Amino acid sequence: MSVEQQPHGTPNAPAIGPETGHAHGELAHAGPDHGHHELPFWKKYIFSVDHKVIGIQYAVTALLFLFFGFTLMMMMRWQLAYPGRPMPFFGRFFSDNVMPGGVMAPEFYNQLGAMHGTIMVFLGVVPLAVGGFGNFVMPLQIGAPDMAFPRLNLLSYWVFVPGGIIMLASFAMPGGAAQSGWTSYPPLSVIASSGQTAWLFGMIFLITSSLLGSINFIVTIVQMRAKGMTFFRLPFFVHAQLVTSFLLLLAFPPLEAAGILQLMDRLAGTSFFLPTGLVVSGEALKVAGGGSPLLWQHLFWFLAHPEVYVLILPAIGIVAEVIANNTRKPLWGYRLLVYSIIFLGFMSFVVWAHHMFMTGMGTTMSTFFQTTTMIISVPSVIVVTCFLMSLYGGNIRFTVPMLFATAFLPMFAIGGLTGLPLGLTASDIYLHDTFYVIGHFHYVVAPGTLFALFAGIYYWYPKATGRMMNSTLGKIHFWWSFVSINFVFMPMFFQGMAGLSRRLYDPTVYAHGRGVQPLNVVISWAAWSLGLAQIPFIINFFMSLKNGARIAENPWNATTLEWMAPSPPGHGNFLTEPIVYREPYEYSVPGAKQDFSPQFVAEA
Amino acid sequence: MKTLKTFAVLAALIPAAAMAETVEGVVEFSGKVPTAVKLHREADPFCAKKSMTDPSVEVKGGNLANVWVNITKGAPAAKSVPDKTVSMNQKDCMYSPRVTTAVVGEKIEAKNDDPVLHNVHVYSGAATLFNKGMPNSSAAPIETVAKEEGMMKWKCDVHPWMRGYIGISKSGLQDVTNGDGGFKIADVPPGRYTIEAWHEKYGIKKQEITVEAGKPVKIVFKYDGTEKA
Amino acid sequence: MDETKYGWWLPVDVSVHGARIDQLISVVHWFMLLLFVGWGAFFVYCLIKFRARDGHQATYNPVKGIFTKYIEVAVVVIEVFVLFGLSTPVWFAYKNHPPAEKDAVTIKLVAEQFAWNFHYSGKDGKFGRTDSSLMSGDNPLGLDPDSPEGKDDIVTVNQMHIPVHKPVIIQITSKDVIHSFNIPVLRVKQDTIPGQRIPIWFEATQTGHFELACAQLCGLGHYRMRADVFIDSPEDYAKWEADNTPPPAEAPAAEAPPAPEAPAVPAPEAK
Repeated sequence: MSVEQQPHGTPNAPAIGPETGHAHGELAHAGPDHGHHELPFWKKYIFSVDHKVIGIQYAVTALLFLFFGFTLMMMMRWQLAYPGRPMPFFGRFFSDNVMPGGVMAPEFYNQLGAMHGTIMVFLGVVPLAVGGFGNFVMPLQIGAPDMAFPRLNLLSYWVFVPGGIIMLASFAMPGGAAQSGWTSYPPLSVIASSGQTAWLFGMIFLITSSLLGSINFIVTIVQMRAKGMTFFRLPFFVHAQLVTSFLLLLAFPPLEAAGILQLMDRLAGTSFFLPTGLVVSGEALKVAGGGSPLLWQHLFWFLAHPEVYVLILPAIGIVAEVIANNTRKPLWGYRLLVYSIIFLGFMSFVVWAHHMFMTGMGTTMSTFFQTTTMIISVPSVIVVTCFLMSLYGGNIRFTVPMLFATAFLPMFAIGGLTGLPLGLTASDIYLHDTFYVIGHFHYVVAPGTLFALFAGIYYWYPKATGRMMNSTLGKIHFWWSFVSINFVFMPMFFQGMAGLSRRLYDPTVYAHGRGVQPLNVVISWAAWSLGLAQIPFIINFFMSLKNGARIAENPWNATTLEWMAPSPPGHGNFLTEPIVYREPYEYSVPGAKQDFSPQFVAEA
Repeated sequence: MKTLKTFAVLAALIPAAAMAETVEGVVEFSGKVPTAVKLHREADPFCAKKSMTDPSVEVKGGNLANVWVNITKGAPAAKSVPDKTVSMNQKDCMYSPRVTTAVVGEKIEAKNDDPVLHNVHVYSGAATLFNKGMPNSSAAPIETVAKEEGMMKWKCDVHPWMRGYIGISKSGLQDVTNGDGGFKIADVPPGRYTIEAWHEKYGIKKQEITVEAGKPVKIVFKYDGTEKA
Repeated sequence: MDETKYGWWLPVDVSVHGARIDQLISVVHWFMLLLFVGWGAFFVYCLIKFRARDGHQATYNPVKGIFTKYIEVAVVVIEVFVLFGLSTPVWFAYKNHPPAEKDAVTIKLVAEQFAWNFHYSGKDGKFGRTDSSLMSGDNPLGLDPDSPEGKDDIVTVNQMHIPVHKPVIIQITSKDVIHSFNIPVLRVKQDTIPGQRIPIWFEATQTGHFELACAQLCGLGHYRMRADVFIDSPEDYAKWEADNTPPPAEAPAAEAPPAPEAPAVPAPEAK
């Protein structure tokens, strides 16, 4: 019985069908006497249509992929720190095909690099930020019993999973996994080994999954809000998810088309991206030609730049929730924030070619794109300013989620600021494709987005499980990660300034690379330290399932609707129909009994 | 080989029908021998230490070396795969040997004796068989097996002048012309065959031959330098 | 190679146009530092001043945002200045004003996996005909041996010689995949796109031995797709040119047709 069959009288009335209504009863007296209504295991946990189960599935899968993608990088860091030396201990677990004598082969290095990028972006951060948090939190925050299309939601997850499996399996293909970078620029990607075909098939699955998800999110946010939940009473996280969904919906189709075109180039002998007269390895390539390699770059970056905001916006949304809750005051400039991210989303569609300044672009084009790039920095500055101003006058509780959210601000600021010299054409001549770029975007997505996602995990874990995570382990995780990650990415700016190109298997081939090689040793040890720093988190994540302190509905004294539902919420989410009485962040209201006035409480 | 010989001896005792014979001959080259151009070995500081010219066309006394001669149509499959390893090594930024042969199923090993990266890019026809980097001489040798009949081309994408060739057949009835342009294929059972010569620059020439017991076959292939591979 | 030239910041700049790029990088970084330190100070102040403690409460009413408006306006003003005052003029001055061909040394470059093939026109100033069907391991550019203009052409692989104090124009393209022509000390970078011949230019201000690096992932040998760059004094350059010009053939070539210059990969010119 799916919710989409329910008539929606008004957008503000949550549709509570007979089944979800029944679920309330179940929840109220959870017990074995209701066993005859229990769904079989595979329907409840594997092929569930419940947004919370799907959200947790997404989150756990994405966390696994994040750790896997990070492991790939930790392997590459050995080769970068100690080029050509056999990898101690771990080297022996790899076949001679990829690590002969324990020494990483150059082609394997390229595979690791391409797959690290792909996995982190498409299988890690997006599924966690959108699939995980979006699915779990968003319907609760708007007071909906579920997503608008629960079965579409189920399908979205189960299209995502094979996409991930195809990506992983491609390591076993002849010639290994894709090795043309996560950007897959043709002609390199078209003449690459069969792993690239798997990459393209995998991407088509992942894109399809995102498209299904984004439609569902938009409809849910528009149609399924609780009574009284007006547009400007939506928690900021929901606004962020709404803009993100539009980005996914509008940006992914061009890449899906481009992916299919590249598949045709590889399998059907077309030459959409191959110009005439290619000579590969001394032999003329037998293709018709007439295509354009730059066409791919335009199609790719038309997705991939908005994709950057797909990674950031949910993170900003999480940070907003955590900051408001832990400063105990309303978010400063809530409406300004909403307008900013809508503008950000819009602008993200007209900056893509700043990734292509070095392709031989004319001055008119490049001026347009560097101007839009500077314009897009303005709403980003506003977002950071609003968060900073939100701290001012607060009563800041440094809980574990708040530590991560606090750290997000300077990290995101460094990531954003270092984007400036890259967005300006003249300085980009020097800095393009150097390690400076790597440092820049990692500051945005690693200590930026990932820290925000960790904040989200610590913040909503009690809601999902009914138990708190251990705060001591959480603080160890935070401080250890925070110090390590800065030693990973800060030195990269200096390497980039020295002119070191990215994606080099052995940077010591170049004199300017030898100059900054000591930094590679620092970065690598910091990266491995960062890896170890995740152990307290993993322990905490699993131990707290059993040993965490039990909590009631609202352990953080928060104001948004998800804290009205039981922890964990049952099928249908709310025990009584939620009604929204006020703005989302009414903390420390003068004259109120306590320092928080939830949206769902009539008298505060 | 041993079994083949035993078989040959046995065959000699019974009526002459299965008597194996030798096919030998030379590959002649008429026409102007192209001047060997200097290879662009300045591309790599290590290779630049030794200057070399293009070795693809080697003519001595009017005969052409490094021609792969093999019996194609009608050739029986080898009775057994030789239990040795064909080596295709990289030394001084050249493949060594330039041209050699292998029987389907035979092991092939490639070593790198140089302190620099060689990108071993191996083709069968236009299809890449594998594409692997060997960063320096401590790289573990690449081991592979001759799978398909035909010419296995070895290239290095870092040093575009580097070429190596392994002619692969099922029968093992093949040879590569030596410095004097001569070749010799032993133990060819009587029958009608097509015999092919292949040169990296001048391509393929074919002849029909008939082998009869007790009559060694002598043939000559002729190239004039106008052919194109 | 003189390794003292390379440290943890911008390496030495040996180009005429590079100074303005370095200036822009420097200005932008001071601006970034200023913003970050300003934000950071405020940030740390808030974290300490407004930490939760007994008897402390949050203020419900938002502070007035006058100050932040000034900051945001200032950020916009500085960005506009950096954009239209520095970056755009530098880019326009560099990209829109190629040196006159008669004053410059013109070189053609064809990148391939994994080598840089340089084509110099030699004494006659004319490039020989090239044809991709003639490309082979020992003829990386497919230079037609019968082309009269090509007799004195110099072809080198991974060895780039240029004269100091003279504008250099390089017409760059690629045989196979996208590479990127990057000489950090000359502050030049340009992707080589197969199917396009893209001109780039610069003028060196001092002699020396430097490196050309590939800046775009091009396959397993990408990491060592490097060329030596020699910026020579005019005398050294003339000597190198003379030493490397192929000796004239014994017999002059029979009437070879004056073939029009055909690039290996014909393409529209891109700027």
